[in-house]
Amino acid sequence: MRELTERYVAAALRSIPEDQKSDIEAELRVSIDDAIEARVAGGGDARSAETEVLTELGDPDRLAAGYVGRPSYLIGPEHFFDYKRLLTVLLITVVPIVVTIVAVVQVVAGDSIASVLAQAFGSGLSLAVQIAFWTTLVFALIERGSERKTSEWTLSTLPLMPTAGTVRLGDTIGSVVFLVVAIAGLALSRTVSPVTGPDGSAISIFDPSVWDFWFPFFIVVLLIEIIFEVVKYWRGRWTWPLASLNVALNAVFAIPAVYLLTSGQIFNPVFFEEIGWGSEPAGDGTLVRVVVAAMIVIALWDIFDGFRKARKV
Amino acid sequence: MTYDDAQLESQLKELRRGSVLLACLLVLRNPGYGYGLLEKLEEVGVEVDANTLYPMLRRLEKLGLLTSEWDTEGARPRKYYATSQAGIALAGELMASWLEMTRTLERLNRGET
Repeated sequence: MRELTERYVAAALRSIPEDQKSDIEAELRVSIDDAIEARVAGGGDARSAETEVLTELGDPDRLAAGYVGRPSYLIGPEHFFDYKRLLTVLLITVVPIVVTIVAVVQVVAGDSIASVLAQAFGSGLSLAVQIAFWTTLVFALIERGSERKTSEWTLSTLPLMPTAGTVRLGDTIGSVVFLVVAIAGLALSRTVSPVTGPDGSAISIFDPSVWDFWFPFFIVVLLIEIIFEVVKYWRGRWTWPLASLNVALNAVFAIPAVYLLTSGQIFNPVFFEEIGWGSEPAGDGTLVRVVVAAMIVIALWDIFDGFRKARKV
Repeated sequence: MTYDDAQLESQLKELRRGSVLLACLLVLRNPGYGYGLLEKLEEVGVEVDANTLYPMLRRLEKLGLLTSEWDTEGARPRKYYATSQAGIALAGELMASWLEMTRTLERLNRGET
């Protein structure tokens, strides 16, 4: 009885399916015996011959994987790029959206900034870990499951030259971060302000009545814009439908915003009185005109830019 | 600038990869068993590790390129592999390609195009 051989064979058989076990065991055993015998016949001692033969056979798990044709990697080259693309898209989209929602909910619930930041950061981190784990698990299972090939790569999925209206990851991340900050800013403005009233409560720069409908509405529009950014990245380039949708999104945000601004419904007169500007800016003053002009210019530029890039493609 | 031994080793490994399969199919036109085949290949100068060869035999069997049979007559029972008709046909194709490649490389080596 060769103790090392016994242990080696047992280790190799561990991960071999039951129905192949006896066959592989018998074959492996006789191959090892043959090899040791040949060495002994050539003038070696039995013990060191055994050591040499088993060392040459190498890691029993690797050998077993070879026998049953199991991949010795988690995600192979066949699926790696699909895996990477999906993981990237999920991380840069789902995480910011959820973090924003968590932050907004917390702010609306009236939590302190420190608590809001801690919660948002914590949920973002755990979500990112969850996404990475489950995506990896699914791909590892696909790798082991199907013999089927992944979607055939064709020229039609080839990214365009980076200058011609393609959507770059950096731009997408930038836009998403901007939108998240905008949403957080709107949400935080309710409870955070440099100006406080006599009772110590914050006086928001925005009129409290905006929260009845319009600010929640704007936040929803901004969330949709995050999804829009993601879809655009997924698509890889500007298209005519995307550019048209971009018009709609801009209109849905800018038209009510301009109307509310010009009709004096957005800014809080109390805020401006407190900082000594009088109540004028909240109504039809310079501030409103500047903001309105900026919004219109930005919206028009954004619409124009979308069509320009769609045309280039 | 010269190559080091590790580079040579890894390039040789790449080169040999396909040849081992072909060598197996050719040698096993006469039935043989695992260790016997390993020795035979070593003898004729085809370098292959046991832990590559044994799994490969099973894989080729699964693909129908080899057939197998347990021989329980001898001192110890051995699994004998033999190249199937499909394996012989494939070996013929591969051999032709191999020779073609060799001729091409020789032409390139002589500087012809």
